[in-house]
Amino acid sequence: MSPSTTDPSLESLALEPLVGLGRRFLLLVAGLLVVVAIGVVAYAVQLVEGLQVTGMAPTVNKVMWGIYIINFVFFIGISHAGTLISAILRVSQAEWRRPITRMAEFITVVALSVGALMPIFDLGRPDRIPNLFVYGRWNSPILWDFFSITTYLFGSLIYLYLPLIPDLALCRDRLSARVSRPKRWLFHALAVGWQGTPGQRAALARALTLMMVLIIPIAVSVHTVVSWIFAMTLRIGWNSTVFGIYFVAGAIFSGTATLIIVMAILRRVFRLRPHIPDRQFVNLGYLLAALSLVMLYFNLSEYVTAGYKLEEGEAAHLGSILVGAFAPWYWFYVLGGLVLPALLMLAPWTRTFWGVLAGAVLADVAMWVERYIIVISTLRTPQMPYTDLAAYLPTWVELAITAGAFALFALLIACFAKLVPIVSIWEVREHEEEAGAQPRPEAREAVPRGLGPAVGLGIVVGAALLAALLPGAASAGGRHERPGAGAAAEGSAPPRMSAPAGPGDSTRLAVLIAGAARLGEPLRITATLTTAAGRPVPGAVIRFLMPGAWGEIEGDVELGAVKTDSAGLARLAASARRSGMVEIRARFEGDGRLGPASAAAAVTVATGGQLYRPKMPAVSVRASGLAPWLLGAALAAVWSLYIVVARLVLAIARAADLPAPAAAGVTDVGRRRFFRGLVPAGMHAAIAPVGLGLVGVIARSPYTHDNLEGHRPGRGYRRTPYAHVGKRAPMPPLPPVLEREVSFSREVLPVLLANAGPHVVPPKSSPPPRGIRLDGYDRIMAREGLVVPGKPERSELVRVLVDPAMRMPPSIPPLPGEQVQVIVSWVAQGAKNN
Amino acid sequence: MANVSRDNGEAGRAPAAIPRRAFLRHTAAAATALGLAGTLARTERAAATDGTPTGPRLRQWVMVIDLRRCDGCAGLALPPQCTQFCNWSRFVPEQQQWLEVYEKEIVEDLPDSGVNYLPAPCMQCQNAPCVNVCPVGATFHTPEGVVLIDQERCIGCRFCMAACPYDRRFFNWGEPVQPPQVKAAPYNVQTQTPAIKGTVMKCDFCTERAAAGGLPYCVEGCPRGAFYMGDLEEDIATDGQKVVQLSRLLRDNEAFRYKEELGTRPRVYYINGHGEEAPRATSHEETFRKADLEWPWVEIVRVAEARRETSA
Repeated sequence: MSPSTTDPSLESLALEPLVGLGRRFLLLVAGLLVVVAIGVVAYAVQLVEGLQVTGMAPTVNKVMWGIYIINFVFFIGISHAGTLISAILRVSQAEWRRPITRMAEFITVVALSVGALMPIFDLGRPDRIPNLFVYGRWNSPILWDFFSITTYLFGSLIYLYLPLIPDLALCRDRLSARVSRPKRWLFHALAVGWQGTPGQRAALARALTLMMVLIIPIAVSVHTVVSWIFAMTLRIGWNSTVFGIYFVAGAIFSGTATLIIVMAILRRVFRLRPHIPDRQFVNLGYLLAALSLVMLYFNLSEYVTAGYKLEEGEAAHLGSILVGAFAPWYWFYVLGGLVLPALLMLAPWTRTFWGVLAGAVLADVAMWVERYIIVISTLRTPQMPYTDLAAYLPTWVELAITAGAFALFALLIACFAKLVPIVSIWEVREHEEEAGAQPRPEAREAVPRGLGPAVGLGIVVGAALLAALLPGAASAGGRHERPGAGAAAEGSAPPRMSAPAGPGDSTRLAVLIAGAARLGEPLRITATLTTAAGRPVPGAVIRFLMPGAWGEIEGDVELGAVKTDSAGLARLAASARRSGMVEIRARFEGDGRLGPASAAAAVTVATGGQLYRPKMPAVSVRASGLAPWLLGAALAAVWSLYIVVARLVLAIARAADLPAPAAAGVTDVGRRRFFRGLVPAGMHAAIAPVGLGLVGVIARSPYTHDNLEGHRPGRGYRRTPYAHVGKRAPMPPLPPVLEREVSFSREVLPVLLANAGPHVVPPKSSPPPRGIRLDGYDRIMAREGLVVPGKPERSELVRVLVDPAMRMPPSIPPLPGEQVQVIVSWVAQGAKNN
Repeated sequence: MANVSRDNGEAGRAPAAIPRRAFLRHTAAAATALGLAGTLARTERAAATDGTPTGPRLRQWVMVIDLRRCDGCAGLALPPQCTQFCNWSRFVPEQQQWLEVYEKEIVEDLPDSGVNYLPAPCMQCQNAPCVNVCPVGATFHTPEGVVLIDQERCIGCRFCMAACPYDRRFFNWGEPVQPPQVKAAPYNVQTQTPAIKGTVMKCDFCTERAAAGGLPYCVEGCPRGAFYMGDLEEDIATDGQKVVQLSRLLRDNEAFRYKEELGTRPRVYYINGHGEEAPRATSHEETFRKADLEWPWVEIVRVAEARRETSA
């Protein structure tokens, strides 16, 4: 690169910190590491003890998400700083962004990394994280988070790295003599042989254009899906359709505030005041104020509409926020965090660096408080009829981990600032040169060339849509299963008559069953009541009964009670829900004058298929069909474009054929080529498997789940034995009776005392289950049917040990076979008190 | 390098908008994904026919709770026995009430209208929010319509707990206390034993009992007979004493489902009432003794451990 004609002090100011480690820096790192270490210790405590060490546990499962999730949303939120400043302002070609883009991009990458850790701290079983990849369900909002945050993290890393290349080349050229060897190698590797040739500039411009257009929708998607963690539930306060855009606005707002704060600190530390004038802060302050007004509008929209209608539960929630337990927090957030920053920018005497900084600090703190309100106030709004229980108070573990996370954030930014220039030197120079010279041809052409990737993307997505619609349309037609109704068949069973009985004027009842004898078809039952003389009896109540059973509970199921009409006919239609021989009984109880009568008719119902199938909704964004393929196609398209960018970086590396300056520090040509190739190779090696992996999770998803639709069990789904109509698991055979004499006191009683829970240690407040006590011979024998001496198969005590239908409370746990055999033998041998 | 990209270095020729190879590659990648998609769509349909059990008809469990008979066991001066039986039988970890009885005033702001009691098991929703949001499919529907949890797959993110509109899911914040023979037993997804730290648990309709022709513990243990266990497929239900036709029971008593407007399509029906059929000594002086519920093995295990520690 030719020596610049611009102010050398920018270069020296930006490059100087990269040489050597000052004492202040080491002290800072040490201090931050201590805080991080405390956080690590706290997490270790949580891993050992479980989440009971958090403040969520005492709330009796009501507040099940706390500070970890709040931090997660907060950090992912502030990660939108980079996108706004870097990408949106770059796309709109706002030149004032140039000195601050790098800091913004730092913040994005670091905030994403720290934020992505937070849900891991919240997991009850972090050792099972691989389940997310192996069994991940594409239609869970947590998986959407996983996809979009990973995609955004990779995208931001690329987007941070690309504009760094020329500056790293500058470091390589200017600083190689003054830094340690590993750092020299680092510069060489990261600079990928940048020499500023026209070809390299063109490739870089293309890559930047591609990324800046791509990263905006990715960033929007990230906080939208984070908001859908809440908005896809039915909870009051979360069940809102506006959450997506509300969270994105809040993210950009808090991101801008964070950027202002970080910028202020770094400008002070690195003495960059001449290059980042107060004007920059005022511009960002305007942005902050505009966004705070947007946030105020969202708050208004949300709470005015909810507060007007006051749906069930909304009144309690709104009350808690506006005037109740959360009121101080909420009003601090609105007045201190939204109104005040706007006012600070409104009044000219506060429209200064300090005014903007104060507004930013307030805004950032207020946004954390806002996330706290969103999460906790909803969780403390009762969903069932109870009054609000324990409040949520974070414990030292949660606070230590939070402090460690913030310390990690600061630590990573500090380390970045020591590694690479924090101001984008070449972009500032480029702007300064442009301001004085003709606009550069490459810069102009970069814009139309940006359409190229967009066209390619459009073709791919269009093809994906087309191909996905075809299987989706085909499956939509075939997926609705029709119930097993066939054409109504004719058929009737011959009526059977039975003789009436009873005193008084005797009556006769006849029953006829017409209708299909097929499962699910209605059986049309007609009963005719006549007197013995043959006259019809009107107005008599006939009860229709059918034998039914549930396990061992048998009885007559009443199908209906119908009054006879003038012709003495009573009609009932009942669908046949049992196959085999079905007997319908009709019964007339008799009144004062007429005697009772009964009759029965039988019909054989043919077996059939399942009658009850839960109907699935016709349209669901969760169902498989179109949606997963769209998602997969979108991911595949984005990650393919990352590969395109990686190829462009490779092109930059390959184009470096000119001999490097002698002072570069790595003289051997082969070694130079090796270093140049490292980063492009690394990019391909990182992007391809991760991209394929994400698409793979979606593709694999239907196979490991049963819960997409229609109860289709997948492969990884843990099967339980099916429960079939008409089938009952037979009682397993009793173990053989032991030869020897079994002693009650020495063998049977200890087993009962050890296992029978409330039957032997009566609870304080309730009687033992069904009043049965097992802690003494007399008590056991006093209970009829509990033990039938000599007949273990009829003894309830044996049956509850063996019969799965009767496993008695308190669920005497499945006793080992030997112990069951002992008890069976004791009963078989006469249940003696020996 | 010999195979330097053609895009650079050739002076005078405008480079392609996107490097040709890159375009082909990214279309190929997308096409592979779609090809996979095509295979999957076909295989999914194949699985549909051999995945769903055909032939023997499957039970479709449903529960009906008759609120005319439920008085929260307040008239018996006992803690709700349905919850107590469930706690005993499933070794439910401390403070969890998989079946929970709520007390609510019948008419808002009219204290003389009294209270009624709402026993709330897991509603086993057909459009279950918990099943919809689980990231790893640890909670799932069985073909019989019951929602179970595979505690060996659960990652403890508690999203299902946030999603449940009935508050019917519970988390093991620490190591759950259970008798040693339960802890030592192999994990069974149908009975959720042993309880695993850092995972979610809930009422599971006691399917291992129901499938064998028995009844859930709450149905069996209710001293008022307020619970019916039913099957939508055979259209039958029982309260432990007699067998009735389910559709008739629901129709004749105008049964409803709780929070039905949320679209969860629960499998638990309620028959409206205020405990009027529960024989009570007095009507206003009973107390609802939910606070007296016990998790007795907790005490037993703690005493045993303390004894072991002092003797060791």
